[in-house]
Amino acid sequence: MISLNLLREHLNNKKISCVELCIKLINRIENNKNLNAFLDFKPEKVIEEANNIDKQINDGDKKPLLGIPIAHKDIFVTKDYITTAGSKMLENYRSPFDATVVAKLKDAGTITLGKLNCDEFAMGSSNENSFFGPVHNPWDLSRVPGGSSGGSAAAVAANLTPIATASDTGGSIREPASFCGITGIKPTYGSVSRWGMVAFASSLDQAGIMANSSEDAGLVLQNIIGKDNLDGTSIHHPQSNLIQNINREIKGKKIGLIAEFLNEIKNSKTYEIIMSAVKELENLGALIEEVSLPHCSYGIPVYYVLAPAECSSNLSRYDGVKFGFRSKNFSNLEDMIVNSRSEGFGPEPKRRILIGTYVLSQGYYDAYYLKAQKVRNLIKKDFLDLFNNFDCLVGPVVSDEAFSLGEKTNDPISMYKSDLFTIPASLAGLPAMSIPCGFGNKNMPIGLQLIGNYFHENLLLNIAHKYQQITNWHKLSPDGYALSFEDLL
Amino acid sequence: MIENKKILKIASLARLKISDDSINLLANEFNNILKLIDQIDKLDTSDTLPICHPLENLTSYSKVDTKHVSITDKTHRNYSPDFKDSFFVVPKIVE
Repeated sequence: MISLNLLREHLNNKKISCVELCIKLINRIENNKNLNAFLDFKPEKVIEEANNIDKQINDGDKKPLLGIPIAHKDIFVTKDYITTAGSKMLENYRSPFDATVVAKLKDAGTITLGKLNCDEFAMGSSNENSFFGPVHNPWDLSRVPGGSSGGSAAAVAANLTPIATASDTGGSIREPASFCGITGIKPTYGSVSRWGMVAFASSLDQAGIMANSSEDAGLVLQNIIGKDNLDGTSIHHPQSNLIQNINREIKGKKIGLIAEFLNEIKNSKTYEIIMSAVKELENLGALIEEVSLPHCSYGIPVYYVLAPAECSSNLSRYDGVKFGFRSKNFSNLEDMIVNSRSEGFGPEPKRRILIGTYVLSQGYYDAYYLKAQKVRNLIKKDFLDLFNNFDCLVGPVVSDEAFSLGEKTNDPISMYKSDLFTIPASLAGLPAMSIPCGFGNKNMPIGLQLIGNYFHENLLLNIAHKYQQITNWHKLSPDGYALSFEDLL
Repeated sequence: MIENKKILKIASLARLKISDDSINLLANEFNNILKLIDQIDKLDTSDTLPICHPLENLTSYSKVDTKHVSITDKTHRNYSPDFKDSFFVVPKIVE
């Protein structure tokens, strides 16, 4: 593992050039194609950009992330790369503009390595819903990396890129981060622009970052937060620097341990590991107390009303008329639309479109959609009540380690339940993180979830950083994928 | 319990075609998902307001419209299968 600060220092001191760094990473990406983490990847384009960046470094340019390689989840549109959202529907889609997240990171000096595989339209918890095949977890190739940002998590865990963008609707950053043993952060809803981020469920979708450490995640995240005039739902973030207090002691911070989450994992290895991580936080001076989120068990039912409802609306734009896949088999306009959608969407988007259409249909709207919006408010209020007395909440990210490829593909309900602990914070729009904190019985990584109050990303990053200063879980790489600075020379 | 006929009606509203050999499996999955989401019915929400967005009170939804150059004809041409005289050329659907 190489920290971004060290990488920036070596780039600035000319111990390594951006071109040399990118050639090493390109070789790693090419040698690890079996992970299926990258979709669109253009080495010659990367080298061309790296040459430009080396010139900027020589000219003394001080962009905050100058020369830092990054790869983008294929949910963010990019001018220079195809954007598929993991779907046949967008198999050859070229965007005439960059997503704001991509543009801001380019402006900050990053160099794009390529686009990363994900579940189709970010719908899934294992990356097995990608039209382009599943991503493999570098810790065990027979297991899933989590989803929907599985390509992002696997690429960072395998040191193919030090940083990746990702998105989280019900846990799509935290769950894969936990399964792949890396650090992932989903910021406060609205704090990162979604202009150019392919929409799934608009009241939940949020962009975030996957990294090797809390410090790296914060360093990159602070470059993408903030109001964007191109996204009317983006908001001003009161903190522009998320890492200035990252080293602050956490002594006296009140941390709530979510009882309902713990009850679900009692007597398991995950429980032991989570409690051991909590003990470390206590050793750092945090005050730990068990707390209750009485309505959190309703998170999954609420989510599977609201997310499919919004998905059915958002995905209605794919009609074969304006862009995306168009069936060759039609004799009139209606046929063209129906056949394009039926041939272009995979099973999971179709399932969610149908559920969404049903819950929004006449006679069912109040019973499902309106009711779910009310329960969502109860879940949000549970969190806000706790944040009157606590600085942060912690618990597991997932109840278990990464499961085997194919284990849950025939059982959508079992797959949906993977997100039991991540969905509540998404429904409330709160910032949340996953940081690696140990290994389970199958020797796969397990993550600790931290949930903060609105706009308290800096506190989450601070607590995670202090934990990572006294532990080594985040420094571990899967066998055969470790990378030191010496390996780059 | 939703019948196959109802699912086909919903599919038609969603502009999706369901094949005869997948309808039974889909109906089974659909009903299992409905069982899962029906759990919210247990809760009394008579005194609770619905929220459509987690930060309802914090977000401004509108901005002043200002004229600016967005995507040019040149870009449209580069990114379109067929583009002529500032228009996208599409298949004829009206005789």
